[in-house]
Amino acid sequence: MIDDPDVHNVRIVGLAHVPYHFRLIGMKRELSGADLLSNKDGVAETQLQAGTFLCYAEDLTTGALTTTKIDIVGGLDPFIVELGEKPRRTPVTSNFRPSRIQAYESFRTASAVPIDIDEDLVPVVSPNLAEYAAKQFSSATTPLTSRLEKRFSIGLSIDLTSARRGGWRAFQRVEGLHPRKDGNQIIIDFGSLAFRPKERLRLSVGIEGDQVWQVNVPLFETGLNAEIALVKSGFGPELALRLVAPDPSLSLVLAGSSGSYPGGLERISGFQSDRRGKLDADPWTDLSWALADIRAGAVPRLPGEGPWPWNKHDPISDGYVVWAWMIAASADKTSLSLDQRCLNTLVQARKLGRPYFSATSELAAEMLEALALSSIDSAIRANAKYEAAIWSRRGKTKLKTGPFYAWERPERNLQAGKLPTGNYRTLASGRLRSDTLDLEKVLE
Amino acid sequence: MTTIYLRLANAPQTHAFIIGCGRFPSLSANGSADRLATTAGARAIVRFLLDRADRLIAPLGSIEVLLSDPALVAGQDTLSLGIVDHDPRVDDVVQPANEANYHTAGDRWIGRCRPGDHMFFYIASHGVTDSDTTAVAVLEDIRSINHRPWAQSINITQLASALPTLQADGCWVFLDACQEVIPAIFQQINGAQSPALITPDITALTRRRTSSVSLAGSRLGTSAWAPTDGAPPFFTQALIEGLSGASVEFSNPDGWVVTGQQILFTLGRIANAALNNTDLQTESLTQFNRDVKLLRVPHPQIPVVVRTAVESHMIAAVSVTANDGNGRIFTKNDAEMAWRFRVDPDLTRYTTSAQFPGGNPSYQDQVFTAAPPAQIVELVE
Repeated sequence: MIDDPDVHNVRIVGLAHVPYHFRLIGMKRELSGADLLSNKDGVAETQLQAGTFLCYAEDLTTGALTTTKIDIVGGLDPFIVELGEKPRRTPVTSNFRPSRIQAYESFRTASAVPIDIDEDLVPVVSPNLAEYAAKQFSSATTPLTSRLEKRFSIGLSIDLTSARRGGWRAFQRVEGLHPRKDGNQIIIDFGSLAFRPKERLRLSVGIEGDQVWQVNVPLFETGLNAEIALVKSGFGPELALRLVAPDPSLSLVLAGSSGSYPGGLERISGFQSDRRGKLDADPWTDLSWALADIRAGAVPRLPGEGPWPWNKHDPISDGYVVWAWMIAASADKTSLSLDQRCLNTLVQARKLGRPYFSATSELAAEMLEALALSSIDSAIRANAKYEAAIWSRRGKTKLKTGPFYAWERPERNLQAGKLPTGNYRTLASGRLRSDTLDLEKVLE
Repeated sequence: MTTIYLRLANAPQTHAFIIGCGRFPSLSANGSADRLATTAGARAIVRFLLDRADRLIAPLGSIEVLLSDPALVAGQDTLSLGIVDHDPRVDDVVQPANEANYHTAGDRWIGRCRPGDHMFFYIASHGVTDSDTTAVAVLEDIRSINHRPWAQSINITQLASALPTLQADGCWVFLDACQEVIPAIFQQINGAQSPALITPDITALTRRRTSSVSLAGSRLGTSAWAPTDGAPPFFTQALIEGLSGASVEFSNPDGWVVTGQQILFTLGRIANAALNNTDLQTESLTQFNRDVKLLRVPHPQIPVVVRTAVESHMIAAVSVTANDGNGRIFTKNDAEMAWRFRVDPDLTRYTTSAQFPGGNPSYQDQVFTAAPPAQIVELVE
């Protein structure tokens, strides 16, 4: 019940069924606005006075911002605002592949150090890493072809050796995981995965003629969905990947890890900050909070001491990067031993492979830059510069996937739209045509 | 002198450092590496800041300028913007953009920063990618010293990452330069070895409370582009469009304001609509501060571009109009293939329609909303 007749219940419905952050700003000084977090389906409710507002809707999974003018009038309860226009075309710019190709080519030819070690293939194919890697990276360019029909395959792998070489194998215990097709997209709900391994999981999207798109899969206690959608581009049909944390509060925390919110997250209505009290749910949730705290200039909290307090799970690089930051933040001033401890922790982080979160690689690069320029020890400076080079070369094959760290794999044997069955368990495969995504096989 | 504007006050202020470097005697003896556009870009940014000194959220406090203008004799570079208020110089000469002057002027700039201030940095020059893939802008005396040929340069990524440790409220860093991959730098572990202005240690880094808004007018390994007619480079043109009022958000009670988030993510669309440049590539060099505000824009105008699916059809149209159904009608009256105009950001819905002789070809009407940052309308048959 509302006592003031001029205040109305308003329901705001976002464009997609994902968490949104809505900012409503009164176009007149006396109109007070609202700052809201939606539910998992992009719907939020609030109370507003009658009048005109600008609504900024931030899709928390991609960061895309849309602006809509809304006029609140009385007589309807609730007053429903549906954002966006229908039918809406998917913007091609959501897919970053074509624009980056030139950069990759420059890298492969100019690179003195091998970019990264192929975690699947190296021990199987050749014990001579450097030679193999050099051959891979300097070999011919990928021709840019425009195809009307492309084969695709989506695979899931598990790291059985905690980030040592050759550890990625097909993940077999996929009980409960039922990928489904919804229009021209495939949705995978990782929350329903019955067996939750302590090892790392990695999702791969392979398309004929294109480099494989990969991302580590954080098994948040509150769930995670992967949406793999058909998009059109000048190079024919392609697939774009997005990961959705269905818990809106966690989604907001993740968005906060790449850019802080003024005044903090707590002032956004609908945000459940009590989750923070429940540390040790899973390492990925705790680390998402830690990264958002660091971005906002606050000191992060972890469930225990040391770089990896989550002893039920295999370590991941994000934990070590956050720990390096905490070592530096807890010191009064820098010292040789502090620099050395931070550097060692960052080296360990790098050895654990690519991170889960985009913010992690930014932090690692910034800390290494600081060590490389200001450490009093010349060996630390040189080593930090070398480590920074590895992190950022890795980072430059990155594909924009919201707050998650995703990347492309350059190996040409992975460009057939089929993934090797020893290293990848196929969850779904089929063909892309200009207007349709056809599934041929899907995990039952 | 490098200080061309000085008006210090106790309230938070904006301190700017603007560099335009277009003369590179050691890069090419015949002047083929020289670029007129870079100094034009720097002058345009200085003009912009001077004209909006009091609309900045933190009003303008100082500007440091370095110019190496290939059209002028070395050592006699002038600002050439006419009479400037609060200008402490005795004549119009500014110092060239070499390594020594960068550090002198840079120390002065940094020395002025107090908590709450905004720090604004802009450079247009040549650029390269360092061995760790960070972005580096080069200075006039690049390659003038044999044993450290690439050190006469500025690591812009490092500057953007270190600047917030000064405890400023807003840090703005813009680079209009290529990020070319040069094996001589890229294959060295130590890279270009640009000496830094600020070198926070790792503990100081963890004390920062904000992040820079930092944007480059090119992507890793690719080039930035400039016209040869003496106008500013294309990224700078788009940046000025954005700062002038396209990259705005509405806030209460400030009204329309230019914000970091809008600047970072909208310049490509703005260049497309306002400048008919469909190919502007930008890249953020650091993570960002979501809605730090730079300046108030009382009456922003939103650029709109209308094109036909077959580009040349536009010229054959008898009439092309945009109508808000409420008495406001824009009509195309030029012979361009891309029709450009500006509208108020009042979120009105306009219907765009193109009529052809005898109704052939027949294009469908399209609707756009007059919302920032820019509207791009493509009519289809």
